Amino acid sequence: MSARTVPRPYADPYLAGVGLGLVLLASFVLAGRGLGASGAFATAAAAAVNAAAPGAAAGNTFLAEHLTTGGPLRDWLVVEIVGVIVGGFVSAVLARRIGGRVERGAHASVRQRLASAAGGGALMGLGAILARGCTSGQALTGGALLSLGAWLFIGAAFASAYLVAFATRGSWR
Amino acid sequence: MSAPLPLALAAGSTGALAVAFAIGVGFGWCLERAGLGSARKLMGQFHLTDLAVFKVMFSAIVTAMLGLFWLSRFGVVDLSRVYVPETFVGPQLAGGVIFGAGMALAGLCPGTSCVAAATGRVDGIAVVAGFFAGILTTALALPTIALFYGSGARGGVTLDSVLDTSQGVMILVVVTIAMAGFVAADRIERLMARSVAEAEP
Amino acid sequence: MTAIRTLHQTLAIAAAGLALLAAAAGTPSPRDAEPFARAGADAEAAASTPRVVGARLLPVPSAEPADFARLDSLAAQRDQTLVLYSDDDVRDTQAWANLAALGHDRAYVLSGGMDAWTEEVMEAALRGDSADYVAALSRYFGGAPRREDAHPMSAAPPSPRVRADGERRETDAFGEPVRRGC
Repeated sequence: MSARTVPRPYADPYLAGVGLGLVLLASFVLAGRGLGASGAFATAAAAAVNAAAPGAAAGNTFLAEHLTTGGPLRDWLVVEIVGVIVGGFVSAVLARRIGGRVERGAHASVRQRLASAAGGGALMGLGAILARGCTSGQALTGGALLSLGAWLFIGAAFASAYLVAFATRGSWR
Repeated sequence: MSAPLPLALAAGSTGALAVAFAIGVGFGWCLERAGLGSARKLMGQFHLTDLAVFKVMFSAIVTAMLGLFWLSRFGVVDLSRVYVPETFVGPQLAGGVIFGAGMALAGLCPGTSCVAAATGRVDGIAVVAGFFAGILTTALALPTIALFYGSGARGGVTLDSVLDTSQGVMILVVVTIAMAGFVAADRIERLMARSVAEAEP
Repeated sequence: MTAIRTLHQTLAIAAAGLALLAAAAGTPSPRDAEPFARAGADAEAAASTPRVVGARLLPVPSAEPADFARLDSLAAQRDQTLVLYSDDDVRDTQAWANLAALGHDRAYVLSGGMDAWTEEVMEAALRGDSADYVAALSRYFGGAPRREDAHPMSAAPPSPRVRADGERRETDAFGEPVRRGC
């Protein structure tokens, strides 16, 4: 392997965390709101339903609230997520960490991994709607703002994750 | 003189969206730099071998928390114009449990799954697709659990008002817990590394 | 000692210092701002009713001596302008009377309490000549004024809907509902 293809090591987590904190702070300070991810997906879902069946989205309270005048690309969180994709991509390119692959345990098949990835994602979708956010919107943003619900979410999510991770530890060996 | 920040940008305007994009780029950048676009690395948190998730998350929370307090104190930021997410006790506890289980199965959270997908990881794309499907299905089924969904509403209540202390003291408590956590995290990682090394023949 | 470790320790010391100073300062309000104190109401009701950011819940002294301590500490801040509010107009006036008796002369009562504030400012019904002024005032405080005389089919800004979960929606500068989500 030449020097050009060796991936760079990851950044120190504390420094990356402080950097992330400054991004979060910039968001509060410039936009009066914090980060988020699940909201963008909700907007996308509302737009999709609206495109497929215009009346259905308006009839559902949750989806109706996520309909944006001017289309989903006028939504703050959707544009932010586009930025996340761009930022992640550029960082990976510069650090030589780009490449198609499936991250999985040595003993898990690709199919098993993709199935749990999708299934886990679906569960997170349910959890995020109930909790009014995910790790970005509630844990990070709500956490920094000392929101009670955010900290309850952090505690519940971490406890649950540790239990399930323990139960499924075989798939990552 | 009222605090100049946050900027008074109308929702949906070009300026507001430009800020959103820039913030997103920074967000994605930091996540990728920390390696949180990798499900293996993320799962290390829950296998107690690599506690980067905790370190990144709490360093970020502490930084933003302190920054916001002091910028407000110096009259740069008007805190009343910063949106504090509302609390819904039951749904957020239940949502947390379900979300955590999903995260442990997927190995990624919604934000990091976007970074994973962006860097070519197919499992990241699978999480994104699954998350979208979950959101869509839940949204359509939400009317059936509307009562629970809206229960436990407490408005923008914060820890300091619940514990009846000042915001400054609450910040000190969180910072102390974070620091203790960082020390513990390093100890745990070293302990786990040693036990793995000893387990090897 | 590597550069990163030094950086870690510098950051840790800075964070600890800023946190200690924050604890000493107590509130993030700028020096010249007006802290709000909320009188009366029990904690349960207080948590779910609209509250002003930075407001401190203050039980109005009953017979228990412990309650006076909080009022005393507020009264001691003679140079702070205080605005007192409660749901009705009763307990804030009581608190005001106590503060005045303790020598605090920069305390004011929000006339009509939180109920009137909500009805007349935050969710003001706009009608007639004062509509523009009331709307601007309402939006300044982050409220969501409603047009009383709007025809349902007209192009007037949508009225704030109460969502299924009981939340209230505010409107932005264009009268569109501002969505706050994560």
